[in-house]
Amino acid sequence: MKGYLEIMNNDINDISSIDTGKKTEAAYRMLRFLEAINKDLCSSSDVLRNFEEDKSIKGLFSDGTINKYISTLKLMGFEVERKNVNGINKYFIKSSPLNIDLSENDIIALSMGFIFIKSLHQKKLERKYTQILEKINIYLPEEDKEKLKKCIELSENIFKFNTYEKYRKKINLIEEHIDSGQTLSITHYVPSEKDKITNIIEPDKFKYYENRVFLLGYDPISQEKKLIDLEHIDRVSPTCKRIRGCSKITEVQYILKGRLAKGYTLKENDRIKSRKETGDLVIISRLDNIDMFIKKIMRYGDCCEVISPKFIRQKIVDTIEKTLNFYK
Amino acid sequence: MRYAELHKYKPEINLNNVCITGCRTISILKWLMKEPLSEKEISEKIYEAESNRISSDSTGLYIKTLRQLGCIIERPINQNNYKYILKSHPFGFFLKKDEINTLNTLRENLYNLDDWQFVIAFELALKNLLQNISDKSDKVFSENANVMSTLLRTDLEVINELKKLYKGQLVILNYNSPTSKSKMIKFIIDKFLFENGALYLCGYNMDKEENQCLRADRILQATPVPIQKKPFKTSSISVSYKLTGNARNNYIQSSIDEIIEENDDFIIIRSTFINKFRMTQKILNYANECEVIEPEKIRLTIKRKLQEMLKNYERLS
Repeated sequence: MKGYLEIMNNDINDISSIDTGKKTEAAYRMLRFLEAINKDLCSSSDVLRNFEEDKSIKGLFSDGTINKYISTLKLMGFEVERKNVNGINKYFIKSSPLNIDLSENDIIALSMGFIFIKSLHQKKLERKYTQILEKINIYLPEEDKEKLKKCIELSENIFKFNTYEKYRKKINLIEEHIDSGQTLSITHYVPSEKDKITNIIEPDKFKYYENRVFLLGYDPISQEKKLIDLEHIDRVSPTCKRIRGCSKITEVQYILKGRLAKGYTLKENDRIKSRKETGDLVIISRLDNIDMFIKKIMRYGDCCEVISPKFIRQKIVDTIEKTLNFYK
Repeated sequence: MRYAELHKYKPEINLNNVCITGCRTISILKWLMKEPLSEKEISEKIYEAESNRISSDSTGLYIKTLRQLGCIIERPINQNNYKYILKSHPFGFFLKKDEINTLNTLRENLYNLDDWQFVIAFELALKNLLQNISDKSDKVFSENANVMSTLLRTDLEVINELKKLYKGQLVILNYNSPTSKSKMIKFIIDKFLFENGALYLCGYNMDKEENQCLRADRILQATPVPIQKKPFKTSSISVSYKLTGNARNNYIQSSIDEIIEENDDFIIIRSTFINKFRMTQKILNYANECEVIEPEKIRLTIKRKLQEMLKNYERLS
């Protein structure tokens, strides 16, 4: 159906007779199309539906209009490709002339990032990072595309990170369960207990320290986050329960004093409630692991005091007294 | 380049089936991506591309169209020499939420690496990448960045200068201290240390006569002193302590640790600390799962610290 269809009968050099008002609307529609296929795979129907929903676009358009926009984008240096997805042709940008500016060092660092992420043996993470590099590639100038490709090839032979190869099977197994959204039953050896114990854990993520790997997850029974050493994991099996991901959050208020207050960098889940005239900071933190918080507060020594809630203040006092017992 | 010339590289395109105002608008966007331009300069470039002049009203219309599409373009004013300045546009590289999460997971794990130079290089690459993003995702990423690491606040020129110097070199550091703002410190360099997402310069403070680790992002300037090499005093503190419970279960040996004895119940470690402050922090961090064994004066230090901490809570009660 023809509505606002433009037919370019004129030679491209002769534009003096063109009404710029209408043509700016055409530019608007074309760039809306570019925006859509830049963000995601889009079929002609998807684009035409977007046009209908955009109140600033008047009229109805056909596939012929889309083809015209594709020709224009190609002329302006965009590589627009088509992909069949479930029987529907969808358009996407394969290469864009709206380049991003990265130095050679940036490209090397991003390539090394790929090698590093491979060393973590998390397939999903590796897949996602590969997608990010492919996306970056779309916006790189041609010479930089080649550089990125070569850097990745060379990086694999040159750069070595800590190898967590011995944990690979366990990581992959747990990762599969994280993806499937299931809670896990984990049997692991606890040295101080001299025995194996079984915990129900909602797995969250892996933590890598030096040459060790830990699983961070939520224990719905203790309602706290737990760190389990993969070295000590004996058995992992899924339960029939889904991950709900709702660890108990406790809000804690504490004061930081002196040098600590002046040089403090806010952490995740921290916010400043107030700053006193003395420079002391009153901070509110949202915690999902009280034990780890207590250790952090202890590290700050007498430059830190917990104000509320009372039960955490009492825990701190109990911890200090227990520690003092060693020195009586 | 003229559109007709562009056609030479794309002969398969039917020039009769091209949106000329689309060409023009994208061209304006590309030019503004390279540099700010005045109305006149934009007109000149269009003339070069099309052999036709357009009015200033028309230029304004194309800029308005770009703005309606989400481009942020500063208008020409006296302060910017009457040029249009493109701040951001929605047609380029962007990151979805799961991609930001992937990069943040990667960064979290990078901070446990010793190789701070790679971590800095990677952070810089991400910073440069983010400069190309127009939507809010960069703000979310940046906020997270500030929380996770002080690396992006580090003056890399200062660090590069310091890297060229050798262990034992005397430097005058202009240091932005949290308590006394900017001050000059006579410092003998030992090494860089990367810990918990922060880079430190460790060495000997000649004024305070003690070993210190200074946060690199607070060093404003470093001036080497051309003097004969000073012998570097490594007055470190060696402490033996016992870890039990979760501290024992999750213990990870670091470069300053030596394991003296180990079994399922406990680990006895001897650590060599650079100064008293870092020693106290580490020992207290283990809370009631750590007991200092020797030397006796360190046991007393820890005991006094714990007593001071307890007094705080008695006062508050």
